[in-house]
Amino acid sequence: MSKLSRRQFLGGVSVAVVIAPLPAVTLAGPSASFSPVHYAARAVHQQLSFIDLSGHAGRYTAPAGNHSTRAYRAGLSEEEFLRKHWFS
Amino acid sequence: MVDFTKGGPASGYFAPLRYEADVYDCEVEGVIPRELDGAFYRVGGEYFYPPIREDDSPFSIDGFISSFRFKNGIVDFKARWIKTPRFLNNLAARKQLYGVYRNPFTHDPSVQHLDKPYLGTVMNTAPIAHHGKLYALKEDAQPFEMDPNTLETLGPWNFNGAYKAQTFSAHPKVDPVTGDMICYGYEATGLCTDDLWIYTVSPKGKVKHEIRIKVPYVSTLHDMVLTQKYLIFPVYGYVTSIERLKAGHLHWAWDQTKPTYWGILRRDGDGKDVRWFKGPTSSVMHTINAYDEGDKVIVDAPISDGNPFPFFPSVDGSPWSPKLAQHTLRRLTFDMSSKADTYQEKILDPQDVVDLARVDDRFLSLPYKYVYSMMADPTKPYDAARAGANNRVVNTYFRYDLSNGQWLKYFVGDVHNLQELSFIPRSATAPEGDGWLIGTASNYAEMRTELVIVDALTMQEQARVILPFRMTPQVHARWYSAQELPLTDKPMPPYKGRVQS
Repeated sequence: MSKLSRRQFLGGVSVAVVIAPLPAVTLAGPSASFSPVHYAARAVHQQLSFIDLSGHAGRYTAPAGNHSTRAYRAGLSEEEFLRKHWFS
Repeated sequence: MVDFTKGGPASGYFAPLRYEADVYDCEVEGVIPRELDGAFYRVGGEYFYPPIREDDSPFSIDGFISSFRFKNGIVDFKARWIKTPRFLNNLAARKQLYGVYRNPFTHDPSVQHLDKPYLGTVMNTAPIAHHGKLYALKEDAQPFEMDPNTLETLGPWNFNGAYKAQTFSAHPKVDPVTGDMICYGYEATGLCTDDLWIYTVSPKGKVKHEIRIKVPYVSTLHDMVLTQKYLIFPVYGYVTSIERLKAGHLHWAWDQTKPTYWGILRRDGDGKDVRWFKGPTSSVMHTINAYDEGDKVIVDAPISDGNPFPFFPSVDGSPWSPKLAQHTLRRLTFDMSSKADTYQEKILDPQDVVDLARVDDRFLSLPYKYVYSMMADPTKPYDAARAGANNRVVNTYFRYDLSNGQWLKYFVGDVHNLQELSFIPRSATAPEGDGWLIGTASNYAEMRTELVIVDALTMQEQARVILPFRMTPQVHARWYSAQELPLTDKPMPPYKGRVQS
């Protein structure tokens, strides 16, 4: 069994948070036939989170530090990665 | 299995929390005023299981209560789900059994209870304390009593059977002169009924007066306001019907053709004297204050000209308008000596404000000077690199002086989004406005909740309490002192384990 480096581990793991900007999502399921429009995106209004069907509600974009590990790693050069994660 | 990828909370700061919390002796920056002996209670929502439909309102979220207990400059934090029958039924079934916002026709048949829609409540809107008891409120059911120290759910309360309405508003008012609580339920006799039942509860918790009236049309009646003579109820914009619910829609839709009505009736009457004043379409989700001025009734409120919530659709299919959803501080004048059924409406200031305004509660129903609320001040810095790009944040508390129109502002920080504040008087005899503002902010960069205490006279920050995590945003929050609730000094239950001798 080959040794798994921390870098390989980071490259293979996605954490529970997602990549910003938040993607528009079209949600399938029993409710899809009810929805009168095809637009659907995650939104936040007065810090209440919901799926916006109007296309006009406020968006929330997670800061870069809360992106997935895969996206974080992709944004680093080899040198930057080694400098920040010298223990890998 | 719980899967939030198909709806419900967003990601990042708004990703599901899914835990209850206790933090003893919280981290504090600055100095907490030693006079603060009480608790700041926040009620909001946190989905335990995701909603079943993408178009659901966030007001369907499971109720969640938290408290910051202050004593001798020390703060302890606690957070719990409110254990409604809905929460417990879902947990027993290990899935979401309930449908969309206040529509039992969309619930699983095992929990539908069409004749008892209150059994589907999520109890996620506001706290209130009266007669030494703490309650969580949601306007589709009677209040749930909560233990003010442990935040355990004690269950629904009907005031020993004297409170007859099926529902109870999230915005009762406590008269500072008499100590009475004025509370009410709309849709009081069941789904989509036009019954508005109003109650006066004594400082000892006894129902002492009931008034039953009908509303011009069934609408959300989220808040009310009172003077020393009158009770005042706004009816506006949102509509519902049994047919609408049977069709599977959310409880409310916005009808731009509906006029605004203000019902005014004597506090000591039987409701037959109610007068409905009619005005243009608007939304009055929340009020500020009201008082008598001779034969006139003065009402202040943050009012918008259209639908404030993008998740409640229009009946005509028209798109939601962010512009019509903007709120301004407005003053309405009702002439009770006139036979006319209209009123005067004046915009006090054109600035867009959050419609969660508060006053020094000792001046509720009385002439007063200061309004406190929040706004998104675009002149203040926002660190998009740390807090996320393009997020509209409410970054400023303000004090608006009704006597001269002056604004005094407090800026919370460049990565923060504020939530509703409370005013705490410095002492029982302090003049109006002498005290502190207290409220929480979401720190988008550090992914944590912070509580700020601001001197209400200078609008300078006194202290900041740091939670080591993000806590679910509230809907409403209130401060209550140790004179108003039986608060204990011990933060945690006594240790009963073994010790080495």
